[in-house]
Amino acid sequence: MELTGPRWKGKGFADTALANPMSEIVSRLRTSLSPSMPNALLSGCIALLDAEPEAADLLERASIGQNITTFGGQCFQLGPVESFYLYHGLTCIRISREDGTAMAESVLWHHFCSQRKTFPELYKAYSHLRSKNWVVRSGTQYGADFVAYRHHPALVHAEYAVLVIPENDGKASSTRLSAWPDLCCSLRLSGSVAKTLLILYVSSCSRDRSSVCSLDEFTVEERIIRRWIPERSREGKCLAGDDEAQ
Amino acid sequence: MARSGGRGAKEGEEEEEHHRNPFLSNSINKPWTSKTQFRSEVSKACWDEEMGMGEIMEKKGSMWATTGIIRNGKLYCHIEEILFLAERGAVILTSADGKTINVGDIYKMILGSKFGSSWESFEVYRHLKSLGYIVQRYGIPWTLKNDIICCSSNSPSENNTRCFEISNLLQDMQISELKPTFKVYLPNSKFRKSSPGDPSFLLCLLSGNPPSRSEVENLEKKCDGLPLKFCYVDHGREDCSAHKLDACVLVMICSLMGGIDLWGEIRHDDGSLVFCLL
Repeated sequence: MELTGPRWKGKGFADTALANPMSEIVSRLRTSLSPSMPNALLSGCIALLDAEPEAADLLERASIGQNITTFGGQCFQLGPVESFYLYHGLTCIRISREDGTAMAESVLWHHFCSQRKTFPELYKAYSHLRSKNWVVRSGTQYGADFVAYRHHPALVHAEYAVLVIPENDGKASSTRLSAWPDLCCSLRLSGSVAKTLLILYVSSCSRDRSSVCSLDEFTVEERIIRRWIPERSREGKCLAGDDEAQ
Repeated sequence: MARSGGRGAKEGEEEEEHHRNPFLSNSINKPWTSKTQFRSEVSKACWDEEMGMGEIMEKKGSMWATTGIIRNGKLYCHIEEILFLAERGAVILTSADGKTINVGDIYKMILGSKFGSSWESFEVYRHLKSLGYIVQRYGIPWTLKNDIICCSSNSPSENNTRCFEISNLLQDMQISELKPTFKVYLPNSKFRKSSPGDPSFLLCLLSGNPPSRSEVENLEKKCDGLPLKFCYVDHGREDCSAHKLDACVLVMICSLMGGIDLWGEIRHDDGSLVFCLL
C-alpha cells in the first residue's frame, strides 16, 4: 500500500486539527505549567504527575503521558522520555523521588540512563520529533521504538513507525536493520500496519554520555525506507502525496 | 489468473508470494507463457568480442527507440539488452564468423560476468524492461556527441556524459564503493535517445547487506540529486517460474519530514516531497 498522507479517523477531523495546531497546544501547556512547576513523583521508570484541570486538558490534547485519573484528581503517568521532555525540554515540571526529595537534572539523567542504555538516543529522537510538532507515542505495539502522529491520536492514524538507531562516529552501534531479513521484516510489518518506516539515526561524536549536556552534541538524521513496487509505479506517481490523502 | 478466486481483491495489500500450483492442469498456470509475445519480425545482431557488445545489423520493431546506444552512427547493445530481446525471439545474435549464438549460449556469456552484467543485474533489467521501463547502464550515455558540441547543447545531464564515462572507469577501480547499476526512465513512448532527459531514478544493485547510512550518503553525493533506489535480488523466492523475479526492491528516500504544524504544508527537506494538508 502506498501511504501518501494522513489518514484521519473521522470526517472533519482534519479541520479540527487545523484549528488546533500542535505547536500552540504544546506552548500553552508550557505556559500553563511553568508558573507553578508542579512536581511529578518518580517511581522506577515512570513518573506520576498531578495536574490542574487546565494543564490536564492540555496534556491530553498534546497526548503526553496517560491519564490515569482516579476520583478527585487528574493524574498522569509519564514514561521516561515524556518525563524528561516535560522536565528538560519544556522545563515546566519538577521531578522528585517518592520520599519527596527533588531530583537534580544530572541525577535524573543518570537515573534514566541506568534504566535503559539507549535513553539518550531515544530521548533525542523523541524531542526531535516533538520539536517538529509530531505527536510521539510508544511504538512497541508496532515493532518500533515510537510511532509518530500528525496530530492527536484520536484524530488521525500514526503515519510513521520510528526506529532509532544509535551511532557512534558514524557507525551504527547496534546491528539493527543491518541484514536484509531484518530490514524486510521491519518494512513489511510497518507496511501491514499502514505506517511508513522512519529511521532516525542519532549520532554523537563525543564519548561522554554521562551528562545532559551531551544531548546538544547529538545529531539526528531522518530517513524513510519504503518498498518500491515497479508494477505499481509505472506512472511515476509513487510518492507524491497529492491524491489519496483524503 | 493463476491465483485462486477472491484473493485478487486484496487490493492495496502487499502481494503475497504466489507459487505455481503443480496440482492444477497446466493451461492457466503459466504466467510467463501468456506474457511472452514472440516476434514475427526479427532483428539481427553481431557480437563484437572486443567491445563486449552486440552491433545491431538489421533493426525491426519499435524497441530500438529505447534499446542500445549509438556510437559513430552504429547501434550497439549490451549483453543484457541482447539477451532480453533474444529471449523474446526479437533478435538473433551471431558471432563475427556468422554462427548463430543461441539463447542458451547467451545465458552462459552472462553467467561469466565478463561483459559488465551479472545474472542478478540481468534479472533486474528484465523485470523492469518487461514492465516497460526504459533502462540503460549507469554512466553510459545513449549517444555520444562530437567533442566540440558536447558542451554546448541539450540538457545539462547530457553535457557531462563523456566525463561520466571516464569517472566511471575510475570508480570501477575502487572496488568497495557502491555505484549505481542502471539509470531508469518511466515508460514513455516519446523517449528519444538524443534527448533522454534525466532518468527518473538510479538503481543500485546490492548483493551484500543493506547499505549503511554513510554508504547511502556518499552515493547520493555522487548522483547529482537524482533519486536512488536500492535493489536486492532474493533468490529464495523464484519458484513461481524461471522467469519471475521476486526481487525485493527497496527505496530509500533521501530525507523527509520537515517540521509539521497544521498551519500550512509539510515540506520535505530535500524539496522533493511536498505534502499539502487539505
